[in-house]
Amino acid sequence: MKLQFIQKECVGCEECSLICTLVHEGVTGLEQARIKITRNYPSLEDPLFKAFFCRDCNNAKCIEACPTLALTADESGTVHLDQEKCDGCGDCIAACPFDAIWLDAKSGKAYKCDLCGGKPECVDYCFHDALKYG
Amino acid sequence: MKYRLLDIDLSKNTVNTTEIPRATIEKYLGGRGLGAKLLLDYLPAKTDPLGPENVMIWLTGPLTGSLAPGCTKHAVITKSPQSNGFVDSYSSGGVGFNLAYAGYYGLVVRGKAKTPSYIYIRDDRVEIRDAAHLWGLDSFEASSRLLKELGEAGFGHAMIGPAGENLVKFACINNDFFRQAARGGVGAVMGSKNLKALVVKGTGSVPCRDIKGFLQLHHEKMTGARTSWGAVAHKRAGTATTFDATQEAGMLPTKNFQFGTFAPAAGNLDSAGVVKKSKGSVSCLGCTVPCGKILECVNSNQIVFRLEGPEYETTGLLGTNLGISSMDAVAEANMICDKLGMDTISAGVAISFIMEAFQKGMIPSEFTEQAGITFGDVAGTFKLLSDIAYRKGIGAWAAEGVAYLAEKIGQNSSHFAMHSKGLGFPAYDPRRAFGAGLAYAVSPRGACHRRAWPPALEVFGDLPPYTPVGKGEAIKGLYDERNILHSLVACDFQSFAVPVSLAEFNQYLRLVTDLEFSEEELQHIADRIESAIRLFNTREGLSRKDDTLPGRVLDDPMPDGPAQGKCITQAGLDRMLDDYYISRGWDKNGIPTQETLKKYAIEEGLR
Repeated sequence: MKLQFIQKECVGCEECSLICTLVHEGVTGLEQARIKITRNYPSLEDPLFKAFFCRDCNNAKCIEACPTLALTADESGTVHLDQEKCDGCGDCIAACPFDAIWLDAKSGKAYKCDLCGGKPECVDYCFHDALKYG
Repeated sequence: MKYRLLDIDLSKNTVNTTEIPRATIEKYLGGRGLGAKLLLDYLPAKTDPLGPENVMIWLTGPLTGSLAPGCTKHAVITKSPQSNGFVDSYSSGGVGFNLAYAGYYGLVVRGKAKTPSYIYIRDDRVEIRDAAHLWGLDSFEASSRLLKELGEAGFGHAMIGPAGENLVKFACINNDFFRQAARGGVGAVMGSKNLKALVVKGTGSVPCRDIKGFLQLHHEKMTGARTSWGAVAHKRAGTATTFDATQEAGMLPTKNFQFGTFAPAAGNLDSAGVVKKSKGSVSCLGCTVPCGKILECVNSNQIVFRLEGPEYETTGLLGTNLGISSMDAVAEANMICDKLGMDTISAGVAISFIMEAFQKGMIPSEFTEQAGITFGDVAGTFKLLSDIAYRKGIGAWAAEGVAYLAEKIGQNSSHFAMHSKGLGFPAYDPRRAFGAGLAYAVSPRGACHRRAWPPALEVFGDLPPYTPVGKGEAIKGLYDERNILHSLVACDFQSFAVPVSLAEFNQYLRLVTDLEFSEEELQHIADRIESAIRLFNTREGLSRKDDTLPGRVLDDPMPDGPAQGKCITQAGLDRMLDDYYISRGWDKNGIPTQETLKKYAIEEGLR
């Protein structure tokens, strides 16, 4: 089960980012979102929108890169980040080919998509069907 | 919740932070309402709108940056150089929500910088920076260069173009390239302060009081928007949906409002025309009604280009109203305006006036360079747009607005100078909906389609369109709804497209913030806001004598379409004004009575 982005359906509303922050942090904002959207402005060339989120790669590079073993994959292939173990070195961020891990300026720790524990809210709140989980 | 306001003085080169008392928020909310209160506090009467003593206020609202639908816009409030009264101009883009995420309710800009400058805000870091290298550049080039310099993504940016620098009275502020705070000359006020740009990035967040309740209401409302007529139509064709309606209704401004329909535009400027050229849809932050259309067009040099737009108002004023039916031409004119930083509506009205005046032989022969511009003249339009921004030839007169043009040209040309209080008509001929004429006439910033959307009641609703009877109350109702929406700084499209009722916005307010209002209290706030703005305009000397419409819609029967033979008449307008003033508690002259000011606790006007 992986999160998928259907580019042609995206309208760039970032509802996904805002919902993500709301359910994880209890506030609304963009900085702490675990899925981020960028716009190709002002050229407006395709792809107009890009989404950045954890793809739960097989043989994930971030796991390989992490010196504190904070990143692990479970049997289903989902990549988990244990913030307790994270020392904020940023090696995973550099290793991620999808630019889908970020460093929280306040806590000094990495953060990424956790699939909301198996029911990603961003999918439920994408009213243009640009996100799928399956 | 703290309502922090940045207070920046460009003359003194100082940055301060003040706090708005909660009681003021409870009286005026934010955006339009709070802007009225602050302008009353800050500006003495008869302040020169383009002098350093004018203030510019960027404001958000209590829901900005939350997931409440359409609450990511911001308002720019100042004294207008176009109407010499209150102006509130709104835009999407990143400035509004970034201000909220940086922890500010808004910012006040005073004074005038000695040299071209821009304001940099990144959370608590606020600086007035040098913009000498950006001055003179078009707004796109300047934004691209500045964003590159900042070297970090996520900034919302507000930028003026050469029109703002040259104090064109209808210069706009470009936001995130394709969105404008367009009306009333807010870009000229920015230019008068030597302020080229404002960039904002907030890495914080806004709170949510009841997350569970919020998620439930929000899911329900947004699921409805998947199938609601308005949302589906706007996803398909954007604001061109309106074009279809006004063309059919016969209220489409054509050749300087001489006609109400324009057959050649069919399949080009309407929804079918937009769909043909559309390459995708785009929403503002947190909005599920993607009204922005990415169009791919071909310019006059046969170069393919893309833009977000044109919006309906632009296809009307730079299209049919100039006798132009090509989307490529309108899109190119749109881009010229955006880059120069000019309101497409007011620019279109000025040009259509010049076209008609040339046709009637009224333009002095000294303007040889632009002589002979006629309806349908695409190349002439492009040139005139540039001449306005750089104040060349007759463009120098046009840069002052259509009212000034008519004054200079004389010969009763004010009859077809399509404005109220100096602000050019938006793309709806009020002869097709008399109430829309009232809405234009009493609008504090001048002729405006956003205080009361012209087709709402008299084209789509059951209100009989060709009578002044019953319009005072009806238009007040529409104004009051927008008074709340524009003070929450919520987008107009949510209310009818999702749809989200005022009661539901009130529910959002309770779920997100700690502000609670009853329906009656909201009505009271709406009344207060309109009277407070009227008080500001009264201090500036505006009154009933300024609540006017041009002779064309009063006296000339509409020659074509469903409204054929109809015109509003001065008696009709007078009847509507009388009714409207009574409904507001204003006197015969359109001035709020002491009793009304007392009722709504507008202390600023009490004697």
